Amino acid sequence: MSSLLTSGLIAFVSCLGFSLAFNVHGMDMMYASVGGVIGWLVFLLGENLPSDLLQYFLATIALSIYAEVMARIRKAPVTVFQIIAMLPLVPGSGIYHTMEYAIAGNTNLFLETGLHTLAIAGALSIGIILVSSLVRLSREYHR
Amino acid sequence: MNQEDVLNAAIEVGSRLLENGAEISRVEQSMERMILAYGAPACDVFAIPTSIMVSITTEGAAPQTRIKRIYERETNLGKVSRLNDLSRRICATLPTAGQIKDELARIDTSRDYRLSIQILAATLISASFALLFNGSWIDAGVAVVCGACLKIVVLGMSRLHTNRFFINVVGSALTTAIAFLTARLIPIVQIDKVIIGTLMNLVPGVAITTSMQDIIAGDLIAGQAKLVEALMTATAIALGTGSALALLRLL
Repeated sequence: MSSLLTSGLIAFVSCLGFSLAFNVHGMDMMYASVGGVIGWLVFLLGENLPSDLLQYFLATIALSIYAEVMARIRKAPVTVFQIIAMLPLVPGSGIYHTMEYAIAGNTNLFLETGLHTLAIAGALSIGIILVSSLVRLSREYHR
Repeated sequence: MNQEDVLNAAIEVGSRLLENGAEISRVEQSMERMILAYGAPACDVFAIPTSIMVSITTEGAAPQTRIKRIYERETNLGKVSRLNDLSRRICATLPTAGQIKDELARIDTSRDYRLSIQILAATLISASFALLFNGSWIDAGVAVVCGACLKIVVLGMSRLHTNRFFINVVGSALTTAIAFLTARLIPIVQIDKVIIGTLMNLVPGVAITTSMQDIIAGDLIAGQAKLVEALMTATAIALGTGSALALLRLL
C-alpha cells in the first residue's frame, strides 16, 4: 500500500515536471498531474492481468475519461490533460531501447522491442480514441 | 472579411496550432470550422506535420488555395489551449482580420516559463523517472545533476538553431558521460537508471503514441511522418549514448 502511495507521488512529480516543460500554467498543471497519478495507479493495480497491453489499455481509458471531464470543467482542450497524464505510461524507454538494439546490431531484440513498443503505443491510442469517440457519440445522441 | 482574409486568418491560426503540437485532427477541424463560420460554401484542409494546405471553393468563382510550410514544431500546451480558445471565439463572434491579428500577436509574445523553471522541470523529470524505473534515491540525485546539465546544453544549442538530431546526440552523450563518471566515483550509482531517467527528457514517447493515434484515426501520412520523426529522435539518442559509453569504457 505504501509503495503504491510513493509510486503515485513520484508519478505526480514527473507529470508536474512535464507540465512545466510543456508550458501548462496555473491550476491546470495540478489537475493534469492528478490524471497522471490515476493512469499510473490503474496501471499498477492491473499487475495480475494476463497481458501488459491490457494494463496500458485500461490505464488510458481511466485517464482519458478523467481528461474529458476535466476539459469540460476547466474549459481547456482535452489534449492538455491527456498528454500530461499519459506521460508515465508512454513507451519512451521502449523506443530508446529499440534503437539501441538496432545500432548494436542485435536484430532479434530490435524487432521484439520495436514491435512491443508499437503495440504499447497502439494500446494507448486505441484507449484514447475509444473514449473520445464514445464522448462524441453521447453528445450527438443528446442533441 | 473577404474570402482572402478568411483564408489567411485560418492558416495563421492553423499553423500556430501545428507548431505548438496540437493533434492533426484538431488543426484540420478548427480551420474548417473557422472558414465555414465566415460563410464559405465548402473548403478542404489537409495538414501534415510539415505543411498545411487549404482550399476554398465557391460556385462560379475560381477556387482559392494557400499552402504553408511548417519548419519547427514543439510541444507547448499552454499555447495550444489559448489558440483553441481563439478559434472558438472566432467562430462565435466573427471578428475582423485586424482583431484576429492582434490576438495572434498577443499569443505569440506571451511568455513561456523562465529558463530557471525549465531547468527545474528537467530535474524533476529526470529524478522522478529514475525512481519510476526502480532506481534508488542516490540515482535520483545524480539524475538531477544530469537533467540540469542536459537542459542547459539543449536550450543553448537550440538557441543557436543547431540541427535537432545533433542536439539529441550531444545531449544524450553528455548525460551518459556524467552518469558514467559519477558511477566511477560512487560505485553504488546504477548508471542505467540514471541515464534512462534523464533521457526521458528527450525520448519521443508522446510522439510515437500520437503517431499511432493519427494512423488509427485515418490521418495516414501525418502518422507516418510523426513515426519517422520519433524513430530518428530515438536513433539520435541511442547513437549518443552508445558512442559515449564505448569511448568512456576505453578510459
